[in-house]
Amino acid sequence: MFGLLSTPVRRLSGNWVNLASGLVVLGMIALALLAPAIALYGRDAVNTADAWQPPGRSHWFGTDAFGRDVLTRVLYGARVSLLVGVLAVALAMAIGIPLGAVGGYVGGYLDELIMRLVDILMSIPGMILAIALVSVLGSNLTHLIPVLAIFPVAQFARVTRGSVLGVRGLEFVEACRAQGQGPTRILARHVFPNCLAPLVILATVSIGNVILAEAALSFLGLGIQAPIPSWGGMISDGKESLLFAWWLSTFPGLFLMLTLLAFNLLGDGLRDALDPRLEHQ
Amino acid sequence: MSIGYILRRCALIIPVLLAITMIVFALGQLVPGDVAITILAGGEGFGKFDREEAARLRRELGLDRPVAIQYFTWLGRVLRGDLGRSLVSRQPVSELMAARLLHTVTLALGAMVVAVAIGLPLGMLSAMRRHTFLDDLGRVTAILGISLPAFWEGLLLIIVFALWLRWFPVGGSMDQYGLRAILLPCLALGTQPAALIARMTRSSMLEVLGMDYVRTAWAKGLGPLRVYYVHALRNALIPVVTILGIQVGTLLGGSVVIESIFYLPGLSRLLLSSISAKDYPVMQGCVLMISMLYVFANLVVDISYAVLDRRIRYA
Repeated sequence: MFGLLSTPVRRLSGNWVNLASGLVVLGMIALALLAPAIALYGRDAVNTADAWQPPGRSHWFGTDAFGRDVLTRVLYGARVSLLVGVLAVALAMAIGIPLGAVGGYVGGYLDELIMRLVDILMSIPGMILAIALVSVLGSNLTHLIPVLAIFPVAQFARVTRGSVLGVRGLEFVEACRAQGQGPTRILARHVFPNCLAPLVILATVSIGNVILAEAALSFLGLGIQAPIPSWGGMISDGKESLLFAWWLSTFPGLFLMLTLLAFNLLGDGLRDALDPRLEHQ
Repeated sequence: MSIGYILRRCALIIPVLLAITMIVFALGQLVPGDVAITILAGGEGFGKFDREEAARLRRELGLDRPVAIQYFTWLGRVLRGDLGRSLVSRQPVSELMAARLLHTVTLALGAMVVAVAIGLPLGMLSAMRRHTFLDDLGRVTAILGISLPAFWEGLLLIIVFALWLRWFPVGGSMDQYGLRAILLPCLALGTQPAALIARMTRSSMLEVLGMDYVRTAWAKGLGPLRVYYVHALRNALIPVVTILGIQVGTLLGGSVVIESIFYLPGLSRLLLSSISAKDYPVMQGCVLMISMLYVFANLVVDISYAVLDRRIRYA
């Protein structure tokens, strides 16, 4: 098992960009988890005397219209974004991967059916479907996360199916079948581990995409609702005061961009490290 | 270019369109509350209504029939162009949408033009000057472009170019300001697709440039213009075209935020305002229309893909 990991790990750690992006991702997670401990002010601590403060010594990122510390809210926003991103992608994987694996391995009618379902899911632009569903179902977290998971489900199903199709025709799978191993065992123990690479890459990039989608929904007022801070919501709150209170939209936006950058770079690095084609270079 | 292929591809979209109508119909069914009560008592349902009146209205609207019958009745009306009336303004939904359609299509097309105009040369330059500073710069720009949220970029563009430099209007339609109104929105919307196109073009060009026939072209003594543009680019473009279809989805989805920030009178902004007004017939109409745009755009992309790559016509 470690033999499987050693080459990618070596390639991943050799490139400083990948290391840096991995560290940023870990750093964001740490900040998000530790936010209540390290934040100097309360998340909802209103202090109208201190409203509209530009970035300074007591408030590194300034304060908003209610005197709330922007840095604190940005840190708490990280929690929400990462939580939604990870949970939505986890849900998408839990549904999409088995669907794609079964369809790819079994083939025939079942495969056709699953692929038609996937095509239908992908026939409406993800954002439009998300907006429509959220508007109808309401925008609390229990509805938001499944809605954001819909598009990634289709992506994971497709990628898994493609991988499984590629692997199931290989000789060692035939050998397993000749040994008398059942299809479930073959799928789980032999086919699936060889399909991991594109799925890991897709998961990384998907977390970034979901975080962006959640931010866009919150920006439109359809995602995370006040008073829970979210980066999209904070950017939206600050857009009316862009000229004189630039810090309200800028810092959440910077953190959002940094997070997306880190996940995308990590996905790139993983792609370079895990792509078997590189073996032949 | 066989007509048969085009016809087959067109026939394939019919089940997809049907499925979209089912999803849109289901959206309407998911709406909380009773439609008849909503109509009679006004938006929130807090007004007074007569129970018998509500029952009569339900019968009249066909809400007491089985769901399947309701769907087919609704579908029949949609196919005849009747998408119902707005709950707020009582205007026909199709009228409301017709006025906005052009703005959204222009925005999406403009953003696509921006994306290709920036992404394609960037990717090509990266590939042609591989492992040089230009290549690194191109790749960094591309990854930054992918990670830059479109709505944040839109706000930044407004701060710099509209509020500070005053070169462009802050918002408003093309009817008022002409082409200047659409430039910043298209730039903001087209940045991420441009970056993705640049990356795809780069990797595709690199793959093509490594092929034997290109090496033959160089060996024959052909100049860079012929090799890059006549021989390499045509084949390198094929994978790029395949991702254009997905980009249209991104563009249509992103148009919601962009139209909102720049106050463009498009379909997506109508979708948003119908949601906040709980005007569900309009919302359904917008989702249907935008999805149809997406399906037809993908059809165009698939057909042009077949034009470029003769191999797949016979698949």
